[in-house]
Amino acid sequence: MIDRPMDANDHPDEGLIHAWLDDALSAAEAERLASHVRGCAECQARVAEARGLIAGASRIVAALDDVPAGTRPGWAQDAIAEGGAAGDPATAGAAPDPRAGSSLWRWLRVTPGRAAIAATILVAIGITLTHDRIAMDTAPRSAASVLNPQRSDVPAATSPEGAASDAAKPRDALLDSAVARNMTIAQGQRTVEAARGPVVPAAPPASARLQAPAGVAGEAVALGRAEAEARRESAVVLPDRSRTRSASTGAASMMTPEPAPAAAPIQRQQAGEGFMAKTAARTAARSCLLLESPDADARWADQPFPLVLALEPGPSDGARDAAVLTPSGETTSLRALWSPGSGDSVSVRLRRIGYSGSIALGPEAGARSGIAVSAAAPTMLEEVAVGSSAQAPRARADSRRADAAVSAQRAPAAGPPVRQLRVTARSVGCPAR
Amino acid sequence: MVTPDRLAALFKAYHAPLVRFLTRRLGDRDEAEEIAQETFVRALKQETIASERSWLFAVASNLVRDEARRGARERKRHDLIRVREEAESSVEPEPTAVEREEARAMARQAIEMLGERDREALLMREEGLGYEEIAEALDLSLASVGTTLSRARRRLMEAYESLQHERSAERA
Repeated sequence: MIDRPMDANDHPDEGLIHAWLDDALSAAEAERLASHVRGCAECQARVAEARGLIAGASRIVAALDDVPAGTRPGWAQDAIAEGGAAGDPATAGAAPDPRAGSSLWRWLRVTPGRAAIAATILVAIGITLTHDRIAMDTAPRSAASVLNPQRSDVPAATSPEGAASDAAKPRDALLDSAVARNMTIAQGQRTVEAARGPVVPAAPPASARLQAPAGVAGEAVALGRAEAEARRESAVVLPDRSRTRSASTGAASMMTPEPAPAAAPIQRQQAGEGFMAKTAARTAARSCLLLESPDADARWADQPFPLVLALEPGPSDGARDAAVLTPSGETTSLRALWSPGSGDSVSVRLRRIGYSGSIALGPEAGARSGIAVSAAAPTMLEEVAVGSSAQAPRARADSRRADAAVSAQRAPAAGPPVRQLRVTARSVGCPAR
Repeated sequence: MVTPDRLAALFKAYHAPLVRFLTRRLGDRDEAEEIAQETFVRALKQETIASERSWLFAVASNLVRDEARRGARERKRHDLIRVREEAESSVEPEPTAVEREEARAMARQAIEMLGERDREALLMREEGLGYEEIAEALDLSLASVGTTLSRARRRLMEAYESLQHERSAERA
């Protein structure tokens, strides 16, 4: 610190005034100078001029920078010096702030450099808060909260699944639960049950299209549609279905307009663990229906009526596999897929290699009535075996292309005659296995 | 001997202000970077450095003078003048960019009109060096630093205002 004696009657020189304004004087010298300036109008003017020179020179020097406007190297240096001093005790006192007391106005002046640093600090704070939030969300709720951040602030009381229980559940259950909650929120419904509905509005299933006329409109329409479907099944779809079934279980659902198999993955996604628990009551136990037909020599595929449709346990409002039994409980070669449709109608799809068929049942009113159709249909293997010699290699080489060709050839054909059978279905006790 | 760790700490603490000081001093960022680099290399070769910041700025100032002697600085100044002339003669340049460039060129001219010691003292002070550090770096007495700075500031302001008047007269 500069500490040179100054006579009370002497005026300080310009250098001393600059040193004072630069906070480079000792405390005693600074006080002496200050007391003199307080009582000396001439020195007050010189001090004011010196302040102007300091500020003006700083602005000119700042104009030399690549980003010249308002750059405050001294201010920036303060932060740097503090950083250096913090990391090294040897330099802790080497970088005092020479401007600390010079001018509050200069200190508060907003400059682009300060604005940039302030923006950087804000961004850093934002990133930190975001990370903290993610960490808070992730820690207790695991994947569910990450997948469903909207629910992170929902009190546990309103959540069907508590965070603690989520943490203890299997990963896929957590995922299902999170997806189910997301779907619930997306649909604007707060209850878990609301998530049961399909997320994407689905086209009416074929069974519904088939069933609705049978139950509501004229029977002729239902008969016509059933017959057309049976013909389409036997002539075109079944070979493809046979092939795709052999390649991938369940792929047949993609080839046919049945809603249940295609909807099943969505339903599984929607069905969280809590949802499954709450809907356990809707899971239907094994149940049986007696299928009877008043028509003579009525058969479904190769099995004569009456038949018993033994529905495997499954969702009461979803697709269920079914065995086809004789009334005495003997198993047959037939299997079926029970698919509820709209308006309490039901579509029963025949599963039997070599046959195509379906039963359309109307709403239950004590018993369901409907139409059954079935027809023999060649399988893919049969197609290849009985095809022409020119077709067989092609089918072996590229079965998909061959199927398309065969289908194209068969499509215009009327197909085999399909017999429409009137059927009734009523619930019965399941025969002993 | 300054250890690499110590040098890294020095670099972290003083590289940015040193480059800024040198850029202001030379008017060329690339050259400033080179000289700053050379300054730290020389620091690595030092046995001990008592006052690190003043030592760094003093060495950087000496390197600038060496560079000037080799004529590089003049070349850069000519380049700067050429750039300025190009900016002035360019067709419909962006007004704010031209104004900024003009202000920078005038500041450069004004700072070059100062004496060597005044200029370095002022630029060091603007980098936050204390009076003791400036005195040590420039081999001045502590009491004369205030006088040097006040003179440098006054002359800088006078030079800059003079250039402004000249520029205004040219436009008029």
